[in-house]
Amino acid sequence: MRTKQLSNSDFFISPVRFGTSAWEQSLAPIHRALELLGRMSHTAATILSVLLVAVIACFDYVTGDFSLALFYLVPVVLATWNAGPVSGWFIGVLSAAAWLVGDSALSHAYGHPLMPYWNAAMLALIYGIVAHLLSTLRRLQAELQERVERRTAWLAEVHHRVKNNLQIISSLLMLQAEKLSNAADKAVFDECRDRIYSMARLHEQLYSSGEFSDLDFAAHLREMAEMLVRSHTPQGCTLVLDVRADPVAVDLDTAVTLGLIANELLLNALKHGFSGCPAGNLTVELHGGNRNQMTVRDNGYGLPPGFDARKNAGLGLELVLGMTRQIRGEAKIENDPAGGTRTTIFFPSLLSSETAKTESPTQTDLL
Amino acid sequence: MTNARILIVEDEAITVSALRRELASLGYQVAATASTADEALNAVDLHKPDLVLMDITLAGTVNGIVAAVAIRGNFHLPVVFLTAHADDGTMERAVAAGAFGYVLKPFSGPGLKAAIETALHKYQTEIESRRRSNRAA
Repeated sequence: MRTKQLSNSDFFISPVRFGTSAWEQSLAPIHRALELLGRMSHTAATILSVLLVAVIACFDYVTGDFSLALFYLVPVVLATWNAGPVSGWFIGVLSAAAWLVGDSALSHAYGHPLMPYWNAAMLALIYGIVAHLLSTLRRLQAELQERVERRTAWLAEVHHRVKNNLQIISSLLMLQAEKLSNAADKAVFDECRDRIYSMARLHEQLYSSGEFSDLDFAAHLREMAEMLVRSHTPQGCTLVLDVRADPVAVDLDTAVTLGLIANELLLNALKHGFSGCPAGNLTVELHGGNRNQMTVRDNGYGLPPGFDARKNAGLGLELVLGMTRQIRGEAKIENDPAGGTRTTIFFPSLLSSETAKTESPTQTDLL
Repeated sequence: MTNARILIVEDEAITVSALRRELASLGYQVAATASTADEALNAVDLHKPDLVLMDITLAGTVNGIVAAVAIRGNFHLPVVFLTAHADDGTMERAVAAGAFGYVLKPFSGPGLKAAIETALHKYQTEIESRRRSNRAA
């Protein structure tokens, strides 16, 4: 068994989000400020905190009876966040002492001589509690971030291994196909490799985007159509491929199934639509909305007279119909008025399919 | 450049077998195969291939990117990466290692051929430009 030199740093992918909420946006300046604070060295943060305590103490003395006790929390937070709880507690005690010195200098009259000391002790306690809570929060935040990073790395590694295994399966099919002498039998293996290729590209798109649940299907559809046209255009035929794909977000399950459906439809058009034709057009469309729509249209021979998809379905079409049902969609296969075949797959949008998951499944079929 | 001699550096035996056949069907010769970085360096020295097709995750302790840097530095040969890694970080490291091409697994025949031909052409251009600058100097 081989030894893999894998580490998190090799595979870590920053999580990329499609969008942020207004709440997250409003917190962004605070995050940026905390990030800047986090970069400051421990010593620098402690020295800065001591200086801040001195400045606040001066203001506290100058303003006289106005209490500035709350402002001492600023150096306490600064020291705790950046230099740890011990530094935070130290600044807390220093702040309480500074308040006491200012208060004594102002010669406030108290009912009991120990009262200012009691007040200073209470302030020191409050600052200490704040420092403790803040340091706990920081520790938890660091732990959470580390866990997220580790899981993201694992997930990326899983996707990588999936792709590696798909490569091995594809290689095995290729090696097996070599032993066959019949071209038609070999073509079956090639079709299987194309299906594997389609699934692998989806995994690639998923983990290279860093968004592991939903993806934009348009990019995948475009790449797949171009790849299949490059490798399966019939000899002697000049094909023009036209892909008109709007961005449509789908979840991983739908993407894999939809990818396989598109693969079958494109292969079907390439295999049967243009055989012996000197030229042809192949159009692929993807449109979003309440109900998404994917269309594969060719200007080839079209469907034979009296064709009934329910009765005349070969394996490819049978798979298309089955997989369309699986994604709660509907398939419409017909002759295009301009000539050739047009197949349209209607399928629920991401939002409506999430709602439908809670409902009982419904039988869908050919339109 | 058909008939180019290619060194395959890949640690999955099944993938190596498939690559051998795919390259042969595309008109290339497989000069040798290797599964570790050390084997790859020895094979380059011994067989003098025209191009190296390199996986990034290899058997042993040294990965394909490090091996590619060594091959570029010592033998000035074009290296095309063949890998399942599609993330930006790995691609950037591959480019920094002087990659002449990047093919993602699972590979397809046309994709493999396009990457190899582009790499060989780029390599020829690089050699000619170096020759011209040497002559000018």
